[in-house]
Amino acid sequence: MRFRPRRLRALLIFPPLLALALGSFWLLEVTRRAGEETPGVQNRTEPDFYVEKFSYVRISNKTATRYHVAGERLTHQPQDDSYEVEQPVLSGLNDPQTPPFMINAEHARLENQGEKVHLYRNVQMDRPASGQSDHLHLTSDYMLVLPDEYIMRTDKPVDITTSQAHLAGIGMYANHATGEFRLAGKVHGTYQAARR
Amino acid sequence: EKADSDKPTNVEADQMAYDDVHQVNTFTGNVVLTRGTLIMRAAKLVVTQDPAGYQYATLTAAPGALATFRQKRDGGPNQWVEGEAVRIEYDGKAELVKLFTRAKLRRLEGTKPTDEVEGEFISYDSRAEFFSVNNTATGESKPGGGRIKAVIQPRNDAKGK
Repeated sequence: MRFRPRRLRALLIFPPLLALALGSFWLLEVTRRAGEETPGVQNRTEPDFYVEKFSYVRISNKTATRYHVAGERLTHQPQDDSYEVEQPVLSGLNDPQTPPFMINAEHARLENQGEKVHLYRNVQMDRPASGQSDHLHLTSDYMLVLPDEYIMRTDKPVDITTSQAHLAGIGMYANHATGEFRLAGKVHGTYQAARR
Repeated sequence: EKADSDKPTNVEADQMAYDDVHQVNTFTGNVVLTRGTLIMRAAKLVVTQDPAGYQYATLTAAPGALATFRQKRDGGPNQWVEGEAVRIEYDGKAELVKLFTRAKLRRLEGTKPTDEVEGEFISYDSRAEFFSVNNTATGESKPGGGRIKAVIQPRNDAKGK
């Protein structure tokens, strides 16, 4: 059988056509899988954005409390939708009910939209005098703050000074709304004599 | 001792609960209160403060135990007073110590008790160093109440010492 030019042409044309078809298939596959991947961002471990020198005001619908977190750098962790903050400063905004407070620390982690604020290392809180309670300064190594419920809690040692007293203990629970304050262990209190 | 009254008060305890609304401070567990030479021990201590800043403390003993207090007296070099009871109330303003139920009060020279009283209720004015004993825990004396026992040691006159 003589070698017919038509078969040759077929041979010449067919492979590129095949490649083209396969290529488009492959391209389709890639775009489809890429599309699928974006919702799968959760299994991504590194942060997806960060903000520097920020100020974040949270307005809670439940108790209409507003509190303010500022810091050097806020990094969003998509994995659990939490925020890591360097040099956080947490303060209660003009909330008539509770005395204003200001807490700073070296590091913080905000969970479920700032309902839970974990403060780590060198936690310092200052509450200016108001009403009967005088100025209060607190230091600890860790503090969990639940701003919407005005609660602060830690299982670490705390050191508290007010103008009249110095208090130290391990483990603290403070609820600014109900005025409850508890120390769970090794309590040591020093109270100045009443001014006569 | 009078000098105690303007000394700071130290409290050690296992736990503490403070109610900012009523300004009541409750210490529980191996409570030790010290103020100058005054030292008080109990299972529970409740401290309230009046607007003027004077503190009122109520110490209650653990079941079966007694709350105790000890303080130096101004009367001389090594003069002490010790007391114990189921409940001790300390009035920071009047500096009055009240001992309720199975109350005992001892005055000592160094470690040697000079006199001792027992009763259901003893009130001791640490400023005037005067104490009165009643035979019911409510603070008055009623017939049929508890017995009062007092042991007053003879004073050996100062020359004899």
